Amino acid sequence: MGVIGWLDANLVSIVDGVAYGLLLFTLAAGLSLVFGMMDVLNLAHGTLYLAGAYLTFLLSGGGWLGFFAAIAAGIAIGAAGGVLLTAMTQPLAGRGHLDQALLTIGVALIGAEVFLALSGGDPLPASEPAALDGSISLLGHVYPTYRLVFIGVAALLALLVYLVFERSTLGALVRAAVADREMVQALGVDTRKVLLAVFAFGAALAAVGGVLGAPIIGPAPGVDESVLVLSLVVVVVGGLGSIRGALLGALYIGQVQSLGVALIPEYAPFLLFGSMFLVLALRPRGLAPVARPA
Amino acid sequence: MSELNRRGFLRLTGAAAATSVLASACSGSSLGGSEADAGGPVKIGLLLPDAGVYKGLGDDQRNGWKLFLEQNGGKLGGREVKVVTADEGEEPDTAKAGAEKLLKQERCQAVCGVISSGSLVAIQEMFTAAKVPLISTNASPTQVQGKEYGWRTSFVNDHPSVAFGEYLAKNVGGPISLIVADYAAGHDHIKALDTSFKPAGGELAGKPILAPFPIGGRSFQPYLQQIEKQKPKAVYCFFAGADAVKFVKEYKKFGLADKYQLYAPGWLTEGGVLAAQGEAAVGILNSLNYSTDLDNAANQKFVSAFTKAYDQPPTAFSVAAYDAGLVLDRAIAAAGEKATAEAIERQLGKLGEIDSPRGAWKFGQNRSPVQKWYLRKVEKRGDAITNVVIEELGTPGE
Repeated sequence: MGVIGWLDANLVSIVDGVAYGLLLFTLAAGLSLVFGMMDVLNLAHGTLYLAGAYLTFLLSGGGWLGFFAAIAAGIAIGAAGGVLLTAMTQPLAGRGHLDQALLTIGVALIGAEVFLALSGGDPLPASEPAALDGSISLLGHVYPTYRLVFIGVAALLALLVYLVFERSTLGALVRAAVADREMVQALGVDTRKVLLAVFAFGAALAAVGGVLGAPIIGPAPGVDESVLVLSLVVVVVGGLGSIRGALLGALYIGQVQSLGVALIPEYAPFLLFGSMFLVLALRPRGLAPVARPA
Repeated sequence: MSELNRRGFLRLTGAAAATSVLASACSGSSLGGSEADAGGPVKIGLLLPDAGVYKGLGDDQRNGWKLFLEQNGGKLGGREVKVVTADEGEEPDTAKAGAEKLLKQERCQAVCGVISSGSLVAIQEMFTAAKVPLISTNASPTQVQGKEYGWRTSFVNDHPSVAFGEYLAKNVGGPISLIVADYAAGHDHIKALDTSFKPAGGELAGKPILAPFPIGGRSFQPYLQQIEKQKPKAVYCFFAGADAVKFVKEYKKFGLADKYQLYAPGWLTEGGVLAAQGEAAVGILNSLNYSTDLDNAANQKFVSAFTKAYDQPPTAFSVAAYDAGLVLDRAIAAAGEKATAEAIERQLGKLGEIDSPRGAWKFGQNRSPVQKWYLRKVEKRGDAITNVVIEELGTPGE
């Protein structure tokens, strides 16, 4: 079997790995920035995804209007959640990471219980717009239409986030605040506003990830926790505080979980953490760490 | 700063994992308490999950149990009943705490409930030692069968596959791929096909495919690709709960549903999961011990009463809980004045045929139902997606 034959046999896994990776990026980007900038480990990040996925169930009945309403509501609720989390975690800023982690775990547990009360414990149907609810032929392979569209949309979103954070003046300010907060403060910038904006943005991105991702990873009890663990792995692999790292890490984990499992299914249980270990052994600071003063 | 951040981050991630472990380990229970009054009402415990992933099934069962009591004026065997509840939770530890409360603190004469197989394995010995009958309304792993003071009104975990084996061997007309959730129940179904499907001439297209349990945030796609590589004629799978929803949807979206007929134990498409699967489930052939369209008098009465009371159709889960009321009603009536735990245990063994909405069944040697299993097909009727009985598959354990 030549290269072409191999690509043909595994095409669906590779494409699905990209979809999966981009979905993880929407979560990991916010998680990474918030920790990198604010030293806040937000363990309620998965709850934001779940909230977004729940919105899709609630608002999207198969029409475009409902789906866009879910996206708008996702942005609003995600951003509000980010502001709320900032307000909750800031008073603990001086008390170390563990207190923040306990607080956000508490928020996550409450979120999970609220979801359980709303859903009655059953996984909920969250549908894509009916126009995308089919499958199409991808070089002779059947592939879900929605996932292909999702790849396009999420790639645009990733590009946008990348350009804003890595190529704009605003992004330079944010990156400077990640690298050396005191110095930026000394330049007369109110870093608290920058931090609040970044938290709100990261949270909104996770919630929108939930809205868009619901037809792929739907709202069900426990989903908040599993996406949180995956995005933590992505952040560790990619390097803290860096959008480029989050993107590289997400695409890498996406392929590991898709192509990797398809090629060596017997090692599937070890692949996720095995591949994380591999990255940590070779690049201890992640694939694309932020440059910081020593 | 960066190194400190990184180490702190890793440590916190670990701490986060440890906290959730601790939280579940801290749920103890107090002992001692009131003595059940010998001449007073019969005290029955109900051990079902109040929260967690099994809450939906727990609600289904609470409804079935409540319906039986309401239809019988709150009495079992003509005696007043005091129902005390405890939370099964999600883990064996919470189930143990709940069982301890019902046995030692409340001193129940019998206990019904238990959704998760893991819970039942953890608590059956407690009941056998305390000599109090435990009637499982759902959980029934193969390793607890036949123990004293342990009964099931549900099924035996692997019976749908045992019942299905011969049918598959005769009707599929080619090798099948087998894909299951990788935990005890999934492996039970692999073994069940070994004893029924293979002797009848059935052939597997390749090694059984083990998908992680639970699938959580992962995708089934790489496992669906394993099926494609095996080039089967049809596919047999075992999944339940959220995994069942995800599997059925992806099986359809990645085009496998149009190529390989899907067969499965009926939990794949029963109750809440079927609503979430929607049209993706149409056409799936499955085997279960109950279907709302079963044509018998007890079932017609049950379905209309249940639908009226709860505004939704009953499921196999609600029937099993309803039947727990049914068997206790008859056992307590037969025990007469002295309905002690031991007397109820003795009478449960002498019940004979039970006239249930699922059709007549009786307890077998293993203290689980000997009952008919039905081949059902998921169909779209108007706006509703529902299971329709096609034919009878047989009576495993007879």
